[in-house]
Amino acid sequence: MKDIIDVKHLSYTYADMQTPALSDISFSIQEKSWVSIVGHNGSGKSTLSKLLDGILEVDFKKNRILIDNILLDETTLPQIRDKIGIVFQNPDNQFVGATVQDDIAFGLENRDISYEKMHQIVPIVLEEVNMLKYKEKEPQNLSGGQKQRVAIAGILAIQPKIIILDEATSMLDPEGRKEILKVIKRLQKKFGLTVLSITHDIDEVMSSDEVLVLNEGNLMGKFLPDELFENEELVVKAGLVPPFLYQLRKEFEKKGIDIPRNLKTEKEVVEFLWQLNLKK
Amino acid sequence: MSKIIIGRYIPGDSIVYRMDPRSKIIGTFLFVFLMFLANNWLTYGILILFTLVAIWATKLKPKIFWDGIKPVIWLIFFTSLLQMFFTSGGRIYWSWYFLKITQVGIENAVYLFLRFVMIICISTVLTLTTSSLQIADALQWIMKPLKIFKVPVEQLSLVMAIALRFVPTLMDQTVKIMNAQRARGIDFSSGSLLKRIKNIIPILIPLFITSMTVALDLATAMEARGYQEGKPRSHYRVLSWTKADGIILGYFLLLSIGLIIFRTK
Repeated sequence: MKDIIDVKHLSYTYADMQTPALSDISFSIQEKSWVSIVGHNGSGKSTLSKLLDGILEVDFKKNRILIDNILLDETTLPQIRDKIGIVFQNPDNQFVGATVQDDIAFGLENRDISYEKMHQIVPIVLEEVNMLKYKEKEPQNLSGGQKQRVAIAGILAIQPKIIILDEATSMLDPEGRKEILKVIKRLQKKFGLTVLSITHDIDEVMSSDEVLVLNEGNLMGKFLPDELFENEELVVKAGLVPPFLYQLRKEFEKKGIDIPRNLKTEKEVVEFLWQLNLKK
Repeated sequence: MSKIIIGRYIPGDSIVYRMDPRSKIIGTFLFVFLMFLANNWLTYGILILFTLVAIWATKLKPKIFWDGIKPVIWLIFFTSLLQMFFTSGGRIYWSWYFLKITQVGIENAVYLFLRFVMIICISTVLTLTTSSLQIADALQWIMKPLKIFKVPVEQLSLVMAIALRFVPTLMDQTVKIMNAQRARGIDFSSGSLLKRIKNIIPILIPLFITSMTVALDLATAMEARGYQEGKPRSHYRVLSWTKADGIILGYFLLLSIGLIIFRTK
């Protein structure tokens, strides 16, 4: 697998801040993988996502950002934005159009796509996120989850290679959150997308391919989810609560019962606990 | 708030709804100009007939139009009465110092009354049957010639569309903030005038801050979706003339000719 995102020596300091938001970060991300970015509030996660899309400007000579083998600078900015779609945190504040279909078309309009082509693409992408029957609706008549699905459709319309979820599910109810993640999982498989997800959601971190941990602007490293949750110190630094299974295992360890590490699902652990007394 | 009918859109379906918003806006402006051509009973009759046909064609309940006139009815009566008392000419029916009621005075008062009612009715026909989005699209088309004078029409219309999109969102915000402040003990409906004005501050300041946050977030989102100022953009929403628009504009032509023929010199 080739790397689709390659970042070398990336630093960024906001104009009105003393300490850098990000200091000397280097990492790479494989094509078609699902990577979670975790860290405390203010650790630089959102800054990172904005830098990757060129929304925040840096000195492009010192900070090397390579997206799908294109070096990010002033001249390649439009190309880069064709490759990356971002779903932001607040579903209300990213809805540009007056109706659902207008909003989907916004990205296409910006790329000067012809009238006929736009009217072909819009229903197709709305169908992908199962929102076609809402195409005439106005944003105030949609739920948060529906607005985020529209945002995803708007991104699909421009056929990007990378989707960045900037805490896209954090303002949704549990129902909406599950729905959005399901939709993105399906689309990732279908279109071979790379997903970069900034999140605090344990389930999502658990199910991702790799996890980047940021702490006060420093990159603590890239881990497999398992590796991360085994390392208690790291989990705290990442601002996460360990998943239920890991907590349970620790509690059992205190009582002198070891649950084998290779049991990864709740079902397996339940099976193990059932048989525990039989063996004695 | 919900009682004011002027500027409100009521979804529906009739020939007026299907018409192009551009011809509706142009028609409404034309109608107001044409109104000043009328100066006798026949020409006023023609205009009234036209207004009634327009109201009938919307297939909305006539009561809605009455609701539109109701809030301003006293203003109309007051202006008409002034017109009646201070216009002289023709036979004098009644007089008292400088006040007098004359034949021309009564006539003018009735004309003025009709004029007011018709203008309100026709503009209500426009706003009731045209969504704000359509009006924005139509205005963009009408403003196009201003490009010659270097007016940034494209940007202005985007501003207009975004403003319209955020009206309901900010309304919701306002209600939420008001309720939150009420929960903390602020009373918006009583107290002296000064106190009530002061009470608005805890609504306005959070509302301004929210608007700024929304604007920043939206700007970021727009940029991320490839918006670049001044770059040519295509349009998803394109207005198209229909047969009904031809009919209505022809109708206006007939109306103007009729008024010019029948008006008294």
